[in-house]
Amino acid sequence: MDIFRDVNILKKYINFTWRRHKVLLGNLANADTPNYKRRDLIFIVEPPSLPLKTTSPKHIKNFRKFEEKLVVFKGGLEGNDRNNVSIEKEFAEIVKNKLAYETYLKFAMGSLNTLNSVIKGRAE
Amino acid sequence: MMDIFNALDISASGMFAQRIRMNTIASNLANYESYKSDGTPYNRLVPVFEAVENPKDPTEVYVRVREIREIPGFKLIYDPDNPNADERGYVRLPDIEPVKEMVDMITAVRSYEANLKAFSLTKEIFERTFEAWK
Repeated sequence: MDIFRDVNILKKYINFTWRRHKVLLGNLANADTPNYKRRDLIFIVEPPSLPLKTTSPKHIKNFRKFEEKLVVFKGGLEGNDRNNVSIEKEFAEIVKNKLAYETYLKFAMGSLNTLNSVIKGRAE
Repeated sequence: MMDIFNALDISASGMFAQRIRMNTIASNLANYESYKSDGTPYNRLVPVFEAVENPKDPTEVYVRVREIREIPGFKLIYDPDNPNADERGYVRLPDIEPVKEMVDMITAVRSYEANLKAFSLTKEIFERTFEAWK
């Protein structure tokens, strides 16, 4: 039994939202840079391609692939300076991403608090 | 998350670039009818922005002012009484349109404010994270 399973899963998402926050800040900073194209960080979760049956703990486990990818958006509405960043859209994304970060963080802390209560034998 | 300050630096680079832009606009407006020391009309200044990627981490893109470009040009105004007029009565004035500069200024201020707001959002993220460490 892996008691940190929940936290380890959430950690990936917390790291991802943090890195995405930085990408979006870069977009906002470059809102007036000629030829700059909007960037975004996406994650790809793939279910296991082959259902592997494990009968021993040493077997290769089924794992969900979690991959981050930096994408550059071509096209969209470009201004005279060939820049396709929209400040409003970036801002909306930053706020959404920030809320997602805080939510994941809350979940992780909740999970750790539960463990804490179990260790101490009483609820805080 | 050891790169917490890089996020603030990205927003700061954006604010810095917009402030430089504000400076050039202020210079352009102040020198609306100025001449340089050699007698030629003042040239309009324009900052050239450039996106700079952190070589260690391509997700961090900063903005940098590559150069302050002087746009050569002047406008000819017929004004024979002006001491700077040539023999045909024309005066060379800097090629600056105040309306254009004002519009540019509003855009610069909006971009600056957006970066500033993003800066405080990053700060809030830190605060939430520090609270979690308690």
